[in-house]
Amino acid sequence: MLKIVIGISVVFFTTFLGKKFSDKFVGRDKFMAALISFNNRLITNLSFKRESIPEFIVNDFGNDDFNSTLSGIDFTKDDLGLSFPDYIKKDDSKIFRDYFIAIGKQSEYAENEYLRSMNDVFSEMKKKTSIEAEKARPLGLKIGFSLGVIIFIIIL
Amino acid sequence: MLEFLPEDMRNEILKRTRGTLTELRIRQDRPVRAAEYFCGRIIKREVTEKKASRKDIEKIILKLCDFSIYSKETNIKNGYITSKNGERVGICGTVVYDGEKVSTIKEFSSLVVRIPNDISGCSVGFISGFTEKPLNVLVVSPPYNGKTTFIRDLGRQYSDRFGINALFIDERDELTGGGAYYLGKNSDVMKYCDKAFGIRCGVRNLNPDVIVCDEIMSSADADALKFAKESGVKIIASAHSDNLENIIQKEELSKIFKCFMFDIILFLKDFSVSSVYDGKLNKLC
Repeated sequence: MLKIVIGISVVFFTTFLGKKFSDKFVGRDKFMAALISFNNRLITNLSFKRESIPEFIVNDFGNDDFNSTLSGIDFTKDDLGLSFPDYIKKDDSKIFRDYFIAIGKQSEYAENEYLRSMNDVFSEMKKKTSIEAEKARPLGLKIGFSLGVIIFIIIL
Repeated sequence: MLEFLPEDMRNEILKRTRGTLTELRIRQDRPVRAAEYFCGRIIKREVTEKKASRKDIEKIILKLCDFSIYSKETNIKNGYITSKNGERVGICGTVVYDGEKVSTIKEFSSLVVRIPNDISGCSVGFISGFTEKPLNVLVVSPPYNGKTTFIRDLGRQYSDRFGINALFIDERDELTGGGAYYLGKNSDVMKYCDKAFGIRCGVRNLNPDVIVCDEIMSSADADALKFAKESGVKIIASAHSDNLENIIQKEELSKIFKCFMFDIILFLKDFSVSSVYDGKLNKLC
């Protein structure tokens, strides 16, 4: 009886691990979606409201991790003191860091051009993260569950 | 005050200032120079040992723009940015043209910070000596002699003491000092609009008794003043000049005089009234 209880616990645990493994892909995808939303809204902001960047970043961009990245920005530092969630790849974080450092430092025209060009870059990145997230979520669950079942059988 | 400066620079300046700071000159590769009002006169001297770098100047401008150059782009094109506390920062650098229009200023090399002072009651003597009803008043002096302070207080006194509706046309956010200065309980403010537009729009829509505006100088201003006069609205304005002859000789100002007669022309020198003329240029005192 005890073996069955332990076995079932193991299945739940490994499934949970599988989900956690896939969460980083999903998180990356959601972070990208928030970044694209940020970029698009900043383009709109340029044409009408013209809020400064510190005023603009207090808005909600639909992702807690992205919002907390923005709230951690320190404008007095050259590198803005940026920190990204652990699931963001090193190469991606470099692109994001360069992006945040660049915004706000140009004329409206140049800023608009830059933001639009970055929209293309981010859209490409989003396509990749979406594909990865779509694959990873069921795959993580499957692998976790399968691994749990194997251990369950071994325990029995 | 001076919150847009790098912290070490600001601390050093404030530490070494003895009187009332009125102007700072921040030039690339030079120590910062300050002008301060101390013991009844203006003293000009270096107030930092460290030389300002290009990066310091860029950081100052970025902070003045609230880290968003686009939000102050129009001001930069016009060669100045006004801080949140009303300090006007003149910008010197390389001017970029797009056709015949100034596109922007880049490669900033020096800044001139003018620190406004608000002296409540400085126009009371004038009001009690000349008039308690609003008149068309022109306040004249070379730069940096207290014109803005005087017209701000004149508008405020009219507004508070006599319940007169005063409209301030604050083209450069100097009259309001970024909202730091009280302008009277019966005052309205139009910020960052040029005087010609502000006067016309104000007369049509805001029904002011008196309009207060700084530094009239163009023929567009002259047309707008004429429009205000024809509408029965009084004007309190200022102009750059050091004497009456120069005013008459200055092409743009003489245009203004041809179409608009001020009731009182008042000259300031070293922050106090030096002479007063009537509209026909007779010296009153």
